[in-house]
Amino acid sequence: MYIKLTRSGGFAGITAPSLEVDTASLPKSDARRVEALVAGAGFFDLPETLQATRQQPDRFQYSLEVARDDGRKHSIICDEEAASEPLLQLLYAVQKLNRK
Amino acid sequence: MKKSRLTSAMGQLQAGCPVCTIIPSHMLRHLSQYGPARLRETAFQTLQHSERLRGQRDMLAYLGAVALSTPAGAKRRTIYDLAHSTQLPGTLVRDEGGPKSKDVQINEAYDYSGATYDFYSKVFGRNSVDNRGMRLDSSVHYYTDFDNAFWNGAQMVYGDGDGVIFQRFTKCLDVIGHELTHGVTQYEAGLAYQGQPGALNESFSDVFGSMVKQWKKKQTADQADWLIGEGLLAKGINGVALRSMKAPGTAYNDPQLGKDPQPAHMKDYVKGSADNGGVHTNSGIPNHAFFLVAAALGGSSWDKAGKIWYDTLCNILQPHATFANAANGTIRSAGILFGVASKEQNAVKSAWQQVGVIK
Repeated sequence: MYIKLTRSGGFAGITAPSLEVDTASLPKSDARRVEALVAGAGFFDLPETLQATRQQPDRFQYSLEVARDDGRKHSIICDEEAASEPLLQLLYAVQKLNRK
Repeated sequence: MKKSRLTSAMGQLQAGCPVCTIIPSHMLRHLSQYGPARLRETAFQTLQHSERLRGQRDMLAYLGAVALSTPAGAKRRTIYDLAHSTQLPGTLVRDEGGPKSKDVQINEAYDYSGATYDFYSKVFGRNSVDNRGMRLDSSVHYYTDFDNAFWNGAQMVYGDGDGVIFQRFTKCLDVIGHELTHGVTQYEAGLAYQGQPGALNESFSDVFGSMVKQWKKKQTADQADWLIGEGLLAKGINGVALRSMKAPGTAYNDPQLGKDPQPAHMKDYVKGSADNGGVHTNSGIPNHAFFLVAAALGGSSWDKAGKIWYDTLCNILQPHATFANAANGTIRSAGILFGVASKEQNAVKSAWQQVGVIK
C-alpha cells in the first residue's frame, strides 16, 4: 500500500514536505497496523473533501492519497477538525512512521 | 437530561432539523458558557444555528443579555491533562486558585492564560474571552510529539512539540495570548478563517499575543522584540521565532522548516490554497502595519495602537473584512479616539500605506 500525506496550516502555518510511505518497506507489524487504520477509517468511501462546518483556528489541513495493492486509489483533502477519530488516528500514525 | 440524549438531540439539530429544538435556548445558552468543555462548543453551534433559523440578528448580544456572568476581574481557569490522548478535554489537574503542579506545562497554561486575562481586563476592561467571565479551559499533552496549539471554539489545546523542531507550545506567553485572542475574535468581529479575513484573524491574534508579552515584561514598543513564538523552536533550528512583526520573512531559515514566507507588503501577498489561503503567511502584512503604528507613536503599544486595534476588532470589522476594510476601520477608529488629523490617525494611515494596502 502506498500512502502520501501532506500537512499544512497549524500555528506555524508551515506546509511540510510530503510524507511518502510504501507499507511493503515497513516492519510487518507497522504495515499491518497502518493498513488496518486505513480500513478502519473507511478511507476509500470518504468524500474527496472533508471541510469543517466551523473552522478551528490554527488546526492542520491534510491531503492524503492511498493506493492499494489491488489498484484501488483514493485522495482526500481534510480539515483536521473534520476528521473522524479513526481518520485522525490514521493521519497521526502516518506522521509517526516518518519519524522512526 | 442524560448527557447522551442531550448530545444526540444537539446532533440532530445540527443535521438540519428545522425549528424543532428539543433543548430550550436558555439551557443551550447556559451550557455554551458554563457546561463541561466538550459540550460547550456543540451547544454554542446548536444555539447559533437555531437562533439564525428564528431570525435572531444580534444573536450574541441576545445570548449575553440573559446569561449569568462572572464579576469583572474574576478569572476562572481550568487546566486538563490529555495524557497524550486526543479525547478533549482530558483529566482536570488544576483549577482556579489550585496549587502549582510538578508539570511545567500545566503551570504555564495556568499562568499565561491568567496573564492574558489580566491584560484584557486591566488594559481594555474586558472580562474574559466572551466579555462575560467565560471560564478559560486549557488541555495540555495533546497526543504525542504534537507540533501545534489551537483554539477549538471553546478551549485551548497544546501539544508537547517533537523536541527536534519545536519545543512545548505552552512555553511562550504570546502563543497562549494568540490562542485566547482567537476566542475574543470569535465573540467580536467573527473574522472568517480564510483569505484576507483569515489573515486578519491571525494578525489580531499575533498583535494581541505580542501585546500581552510586552505588557507582562513592561516593555515599550522600541524595547519589544516583536517576535511571535520566540523560544519555541528547538535548539539547532536556524531561527529566532515563528514570525516577526517588525521584519516579516526573517524569523527563520532552516533546511527542516524552510524559510519564513511572510510578506511585509501587499506586492508579496501569497495566493494559493494552502493554509486556508495563507492565513498564517499573509498575516505578516497587517502585523507589520500594527508594528509601524506602535513604533511611530512610541511608548507602550497597548496605549494607542492597541486601543485602536481593539476598538476596530470589537466595533467595526465584519466577518468578511478585507485588509482594506481593516485599514479604513483603524483609520476611522483612530480619528474617533484621538481626533481627525491627529498624529495617531496619521500614523495609522501611513502604516497601511507603507504596507501597500492603501494608496
